Formats: sequence, C-alpha cells, structure tokens
Amino acid sequence: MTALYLLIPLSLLLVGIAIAVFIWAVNSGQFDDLDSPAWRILDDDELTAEKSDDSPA
Amino acid sequence: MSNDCLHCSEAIPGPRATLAAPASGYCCAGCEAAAAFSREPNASFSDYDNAAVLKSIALSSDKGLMEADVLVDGIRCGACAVDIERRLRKLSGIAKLSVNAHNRIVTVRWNQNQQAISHILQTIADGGYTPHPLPLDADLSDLRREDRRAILKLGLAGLGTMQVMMLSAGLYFGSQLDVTAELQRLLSWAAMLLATPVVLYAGLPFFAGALNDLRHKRLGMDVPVALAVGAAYSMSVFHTLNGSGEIWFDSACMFVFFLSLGRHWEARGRRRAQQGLRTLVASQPQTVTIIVDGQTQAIPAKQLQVGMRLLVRPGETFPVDGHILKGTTTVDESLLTGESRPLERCCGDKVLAGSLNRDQALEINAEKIGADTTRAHLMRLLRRAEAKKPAVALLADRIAARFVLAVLVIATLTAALWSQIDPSRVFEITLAVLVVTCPCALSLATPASLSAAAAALARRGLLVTRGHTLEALTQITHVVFDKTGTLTDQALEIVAVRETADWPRHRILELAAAIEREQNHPIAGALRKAAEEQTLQLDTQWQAGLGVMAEYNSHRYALGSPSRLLGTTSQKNHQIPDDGNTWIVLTEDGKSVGWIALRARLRPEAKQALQALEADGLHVQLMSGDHAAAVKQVANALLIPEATGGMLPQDKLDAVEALRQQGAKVMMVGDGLNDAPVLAGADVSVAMQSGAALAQASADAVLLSGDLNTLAAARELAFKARRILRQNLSWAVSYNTLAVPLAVTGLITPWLAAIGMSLSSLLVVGNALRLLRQPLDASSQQDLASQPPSFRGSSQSERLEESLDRPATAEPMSTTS
Repeated sequence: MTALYLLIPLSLLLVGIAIAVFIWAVNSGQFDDLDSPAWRILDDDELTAEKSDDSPA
Repeated sequence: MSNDCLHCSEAIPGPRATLAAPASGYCCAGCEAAAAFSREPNASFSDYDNAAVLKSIALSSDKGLMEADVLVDGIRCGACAVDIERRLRKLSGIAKLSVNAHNRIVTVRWNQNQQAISHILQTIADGGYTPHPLPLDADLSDLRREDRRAILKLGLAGLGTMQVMMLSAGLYFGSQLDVTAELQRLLSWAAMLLATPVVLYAGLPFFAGALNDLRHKRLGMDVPVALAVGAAYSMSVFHTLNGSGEIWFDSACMFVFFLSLGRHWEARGRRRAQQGLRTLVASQPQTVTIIVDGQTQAIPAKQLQVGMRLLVRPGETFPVDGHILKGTTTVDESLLTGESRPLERCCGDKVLAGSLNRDQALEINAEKIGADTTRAHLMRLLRRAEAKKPAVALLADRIAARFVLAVLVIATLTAALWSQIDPSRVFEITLAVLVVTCPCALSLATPASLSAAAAALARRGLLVTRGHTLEALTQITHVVFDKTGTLTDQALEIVAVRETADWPRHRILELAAAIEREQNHPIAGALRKAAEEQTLQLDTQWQAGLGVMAEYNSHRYALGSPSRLLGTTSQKNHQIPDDGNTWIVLTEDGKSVGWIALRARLRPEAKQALQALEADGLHVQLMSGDHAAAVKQVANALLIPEATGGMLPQDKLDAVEALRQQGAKVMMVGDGLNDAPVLAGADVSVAMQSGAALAQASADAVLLSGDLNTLAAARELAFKARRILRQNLSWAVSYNTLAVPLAVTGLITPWLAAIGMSLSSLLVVGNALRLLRQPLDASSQQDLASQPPSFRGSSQSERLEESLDRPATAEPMSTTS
C-alpha cells in the first residue's frame, strides 16, 4: 500500500503532462479541422520538402 | 501542369479509342463533367491583383509576404480540402498554407514577388471550387478562438473526469481494501486537485447560464445543474479540508463532462447549418469594375458610390441595386425572389444586388449600395424575425423549473426544521437533500432523449439544428410550403406543345430533342424524355444568347427563347399566355413552327408526402413568390386547398404571423433566400438541402434527403421521443420524490444513494437509446442512398451516435450521484 504514496503523485504528474500536451495541441490548431485529416491518407503525393500545413499563429 | 487533368491533377493517359473522348485538359469525361458542373462561367480574378483591392483582402507582412483568408465554396468534405492543398502546394512562392474543411477557409501566405493572388485563386477555381476572398474585417479569429476554447473545455473535462473516477473508486472500495485514513486523505486531495479545473473552468458555461437564468427570473436546466455541481464540489472541498466525510468530486466532474459533450454536438450541428451564411456574406463581390471616361477600372467594393457607372460581366453577381444603361441579358434572381426562371433584362430595367448576370456584359448605374440594397433589406428582415423567434416552452424546462423550485423549498424547510432539532447537523443534512435530489437522471434525461432522437432523425435525412425542434414538431397544426425548389425539383417537364398544321406534336418534339441532343441542361433533359423517336442526328451549334441552331433538309432550325429568336413582343403576338410556364419556340428559317411550354417538375413524392401530413390532421398551405398561375397549377396537382402566389418575403412573414395570432403552430418548409425571414418566424422551419445558404442558416432543421416523406416520419419520431422523454422525466422525478423524504429525515446512507442514482441514470440513458433502435424501413434506406456524398462520409448521424455511445458505455463507471 505504501507504494501508492509514490504512485498517486506520479499519476497526477502524468495527467498534468497529458493536459499540457492537449492544451498545446488545441492551441496549435490540431483540433480546428476534424474532417479532413481522415482523408489525408488517401493523398498519395510524395511529401514536398517544405512542410506547409501548419496553422497560422 | 499541361499533362495533368485540370480537375483531379492526375496524369492524362495517352490517346484512347473511347466513344466519348473528354475535352483536352481533362483525364476523363467524369472529371470534365464535374469541373463543368461546378465552374462559374468566366470568373476572373485579375481584379484582385489591383493594389487597392489587394490591400482590402490581404495583410502584408515583411519581406513581401502577404496573407489572406479565402472562403472556398464547394469544399464538401476532407477530401476536397486535401485536393486544394495539393493543388496549391505545387505553386511557387507559397510560404504557408492551411485548408480547413470544417469552416471551409483556406489561409494562404505567399510571396508577392513570386506569385499573384489571381493565380492562386484561379488554381482553386480550376479544381471546380469557388473561392471568395474574405475582406480583412471579416474577423475569423474570434470564431477560431471560440471553437478552440470549447474543445479545450471538453477535453479537460474528459481527462479530469476519468482520473477523478479512478481515484474515487479507491475511496469507495477503501473499506474492503484496508485503505488507511492517511491514504484516504491523499486520494481526496488528489481528486480535489483534478476536479477543480474541471468544475471551475470546464463547468463555467453552466454557472454562467444559471446566473443568466436567475437574472431573467426563470429556472432553466442550468440552475439545477449548477446547483448540483456547485453543491457537490463545495461540500467535497469542505470535507477534504476537514479531513472527514464523503466526497463527490467524481459526480461533479461527470455532470460537467456529459453535459458539455451533449452541448458540443448540438453546437456543431448548428454551426454546420450556419456555415452557408458566411458564404453569402463572402459572395458579395469584393471588387467592382467601374467605368470612368470610357475606361474600366477595378476598385474595392467599399469605395463604390451612388451614381457610379459599373461594368458587370457574365457570371458575376450584381453588387448594387441599379438600372441597366447598356446591354441585354438574362438574370437569375432565384436567390432573392425564388423565381425559378431566368428573367430577360434590357435597357432601363432594374437589377438587384445579389442576383446573377447570366449572359452578356452590362453597364449599370449604382442606385442603392451597401445597406440600402434589397438583399441587405432581406437580411435585416431575417434578423428581426429571428429576434422574435417564438420561444417554445420546453417540457423538460417546465418540469425542471417546478422540480428545482420544489427542491429549493424542501431544502429550505429542512434547514429550518433541523435548526430547531439539532443546529450542528443543519449544514450536513441540507446538503444531503440537495445532493440526493441532485438531478442526475433528470439532467441526463433530456439531452439523452433529444440527442438520440436527433441521431435517429439524421439517419432518416433530417438534420436538426436547434434544440426545441423536436418538441415543437409535436405541437404544429399548420404546414406551409414554398413552391420553387421545395415542392418542385431542379428538373423541368413539358406541360404543353402548341402544334401547327404541318407540325404535329411528335414532330416538334422529335426535332427539338435532336437539336438539344448535345446540350446538358434541364430543358434538353425534358425534351429527351418527351420525344418518342430519337433517331435524328443533326449537326448543332450553340449561340450565346440565342439558343441552339441546326441545319436539316436545307432548312435552318433554331430552338430557344421566343423574345430572342422572334423579338420581345413575339409571345404576345402569337397569343402565348403568360401563365408562369417557360415557353420555348422552334423556328424554321426564322418563322415559328412550334411552341413548347415547360415548368419545374413536381417532386415525385410530393403528393404522397402532403397527403400523409393531411392525414395526420395538419392543414397544408402553399405560399410562393412565384407566378400565381404556376402556383395554382401546383396546388391543383397536389390537391392543396389554400395556395397563394406572388408573395413577397414580408407577405409570407405576415401571413404566418397572422396564422400564429389565431393560435396556430406553423411549420414552414422552404428553400430560397426569400424564405429565410419566414423560416425564422415560424414555430418550426425546415430548409431544403439544395436551398439557399441563408435559408438553411435560419431554419431549425435541414432536409438532407430531399425527400418530403421524411417530414411525416420526423413528426412520428418526435412523438415517440416525447413519450420517452416523459417516461424518463417521470422516472427521475419519482425517484427523487422517494429519496427526498429519506434524506430530509437524515436516514439515507451514501451507499444507497449512490447505487440508486447510478441505476436511475442507466435506466434513463438506456430508455433514450431505444429511439435509435428503430429499424430502417426501405424508404429511409433510399434516403441515405440519395444523400450527397458529403453527408455520407462522416455523416452527422454517425457523429451524434458517437456522442451517445460515450455516455452509455462510460455510465457503468458512475458510482454516486
């Protein structure tokens, strides 16, 4: 049972990281469009050297 | 680029011996047809290169970089977005690019020295899309921020809730697992840490809503939710800080999460229907071409002034109300008036902003601009009607209001009672009452039933965009239909053929069909269908503004509009009635030999659908802006007793208001921009999927299937939903009625309350899900098949089902309430 004194704070830390990553993902526009990414896999063009699909700041 | 298909960008295969060889530039006949179908004629973007115009749509930053938002009409799903991205990526000088299929906005940043905006727009247009550069003041960042905040709240609530539930499980089963008091405290503190952002940030909209309700002196659903969440949270915080007592962080978080989820999906549906509204704003031309001293000059639309002389090219939308100074054309006013026929306009005639110039370049003078135009007037009318939108008192809200009032009274009485008996237990027991009556089942009952019903309706082809629609569907007494585009569809049919001695009906139709053989518009389709023999092969030639010509037996034949082929008074001269039908004439060496009348075809299911509604005890009416004679024809064919033609948008709104004054509840079904105000003013409104964007935005539901039979089916489902909602509400209320006396007397134990509440919530959700289990009958399966692909791929119904699946599967984890 004493392991829980370590594991619970650890789980809190992990949740904190998960939330931080989620906030970053939302703010960087990854959730702006939930429709088109599913289709992107069908686009068989080779990726161009310049990555051009990041969202505006 | 020259070896790639203009539509799909795939390489064009070598010469093939196919019968229908595609025009050069396309890989196959399918792509050619798709591009031709969606292309606006002669759209030109070179005006946007003008420095003054560019400044009004693009933001310039350092190093010659420009950034612009372009709303692209024609993005129907993610595949279109990927397609556009692929096209633009091939251009040089593009620094940054994002294509959003959700709000249909392409944000592009490009180097002004290497690339011209006109070329970028043309590249988008080549794919068969219609780009509308947005003016800089069309602020999108607010919307984007709002969207992001909503997702953030939902995700945070989801993550937090899962963790809090896990920690709470440790507390609930702690007694069996010899969890020490110290560990219990740790678990409580951890749960509090996680629950705090969920309740205080993600739950903020509910508290704000409750505050708003109270300020307006009403008791809505937000009041019990905020009360329950607030009470559970603050009581738990109190117990955690004290180090003793039960905690309810998990239930507080669960409420916030499930309710946010429900609202999120509802908002998405509504947003989708309102997207068109932005297209409408965007389709207002951003540039206009003025004529000064015989020279044309492009200026931003904002600098336009009354009295200026404008050039309007074919395929362009009129930017102002004005009179034609020079030129003859046909205009399409269907967006404004619902008039389905192209109308002839020549010198001195009035043209309206928002209508489309179809044939010839025109010079017009600007008489009414901006807010004074007919189109702006319509938009204002719509907004006014929307503000007056009849507030349907929702059954759930009414019951909730009484329920909340009762809970508050009981809680107050309990507090008063226990302050006499044992002042030290007042706080604890009063809160116990509030928590036990915590409207878990009650607050789940409404969203679960409504979203299940909405999902079932979406499957049948009706997208519900406003919460009150289902309830209101069960109360309607009158159904008012628009004619054009609602009871009729895009296709034309032949009503009458005027024969002459040498030219019997079958000969006129045979020759007409042969002349139109290669044409691809509704008139040709109707002729092909009507002609008995179709063996004649003719060399035909299409001439803009005149019609189709052909040589046959050394005579010269032409088929087209009488006023074009024979002069503007020909229709009167030949005693052709002005009966609302479209008349076309067949001429032999310039002399008329046969006349054919066409009209918009009635939807095949219209009669059956209307009869079903009448059999249901509803009064069916027809209100149309179209020609009175045409309206009468339709009314006779469909056996509609009450039909009025020639109505303006204001007339329709007044007529519906008058009906409502007499106590009627009106459902309005329409499609045009002219219907938008009356759609907004009716108790329930349904817009056609093929209709104007504004109509869809102002309607409560959009008929995706285009099948009018869906309306009767929707009503049936609405009744079923109401029944289930009532069962759920009465269950929730009776459960609480039972539990309250026990709580008031201080007898209820947390274990009992938790089990009871969980079971009660499960029962409510399970009952609501019965709505989804209706087997699809044959006709509604057809509906799905006839839906446009955009609504099949990631259809609304699937998303709504997702939203329902989650609470249902997550529910067993709920432990207390």
